[in-house]
Amino acid sequence: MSKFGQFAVILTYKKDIIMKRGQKALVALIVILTLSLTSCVNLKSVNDYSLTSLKSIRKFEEINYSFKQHCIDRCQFEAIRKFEIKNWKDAEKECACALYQQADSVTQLIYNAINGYFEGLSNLSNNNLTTYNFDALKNSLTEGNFGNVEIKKEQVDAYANISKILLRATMDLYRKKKIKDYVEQANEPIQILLSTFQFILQSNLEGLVEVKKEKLFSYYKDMARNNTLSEYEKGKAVIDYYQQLSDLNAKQKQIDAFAKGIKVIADGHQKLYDSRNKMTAKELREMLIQYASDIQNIISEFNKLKK
Amino acid sequence: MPKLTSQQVKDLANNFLVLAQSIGDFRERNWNNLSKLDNQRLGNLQWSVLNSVEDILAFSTIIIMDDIQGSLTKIKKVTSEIKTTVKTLKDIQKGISIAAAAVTLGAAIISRNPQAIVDAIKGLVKAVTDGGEA
Repeated sequence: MSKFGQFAVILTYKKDIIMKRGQKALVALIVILTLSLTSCVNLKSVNDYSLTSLKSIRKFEEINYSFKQHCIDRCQFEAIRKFEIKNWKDAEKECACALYQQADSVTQLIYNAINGYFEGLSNLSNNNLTTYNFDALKNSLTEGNFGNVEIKKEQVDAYANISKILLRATMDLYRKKKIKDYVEQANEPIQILLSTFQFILQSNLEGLVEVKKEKLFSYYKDMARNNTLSEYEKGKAVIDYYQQLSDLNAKQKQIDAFAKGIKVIADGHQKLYDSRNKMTAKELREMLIQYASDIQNIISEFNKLKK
Repeated sequence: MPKLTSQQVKDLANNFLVLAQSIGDFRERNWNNLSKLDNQRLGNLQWSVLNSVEDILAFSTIIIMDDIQGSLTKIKKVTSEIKTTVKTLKDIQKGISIAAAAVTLGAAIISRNPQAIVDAIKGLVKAVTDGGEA
């Protein structure tokens, strides 16, 4: 083979290597971009679910009814029933509400733990967390003087953009793995805490409202049978009774709507746990969207009851 | 003796509530047969039972602590780990800013421009202290 022929073979061989390397790099970039895009989509679903859950959990602070409040109300109602006018400086102390205050502390402890977990989950799944700013790096490269080495602006931009994509993809995969680990560790305790929270609200706090309704019924029933009252006074008492009953029913509905939201959050977390190994699955994304939407509907229901 | 669970205590509260309602119904049915004093006594008894229901409901909430202590500890641990991970991811931005400031300093040294070196050192110090705000 002539020297020219040998040269031509070497050139073709090198061209093949360059092309193969280029193809490999292209494939790698496509894989990274695909991973990055699918990560974004699913992290977004987890973020939507955890953010809506967080919003719903925080509605607890708007219920505006607590064990201690109930204790003070009962104490005042007792005084009204006995026609006692007391010079209370501190109703909490006078009414001996320690037991009720303790019940509030337990409820608050559970609320704080649930709130903290969903806050963490929403922060970790938030895509802004890994949207890094490379402008400083771009500027430092373009502004620098590297002697004989000339770096064009397009090269700097391309380098910064590729770094951004690579870092984003790597960090998103890392976040997905971490979220999977945390959901796995948290599912059992969070299910217990959510169902306990729901139990406290739906059984115990709503139960207190039920007792209050029973007391009102007994109090006004006695009044209606009181022969010393005029028809007009009895009529006024009946109006008072229905007004208070309506307020208590509204309060019960509000607590109930909140507790329903807690149940949907628990179901959503269970699904997330069950599907933790297929976080890229379309079904998971759709399920989480559905849970987020259900929770949002309950928030709207709660807001309507608040008015 | 085994401990009462919060659910059992709640069931107890329900039974007391039914008892209070039964006393109320009895008063209602026998209103004309009962003396004023007996009626008042029964009324007070019903009220006392209702007060007990309230206390039992509060108590049912307190004893929940025994059942959830482990879950609370576990979830606090996971939450703390999540916070650490979030912080680590935020620190990456700080790393990028510090790297950029270091590159600027390197370029300034190569250029042998004293003012540029001073500015670049200031930039690096700012990147380290600001935590990624550069």
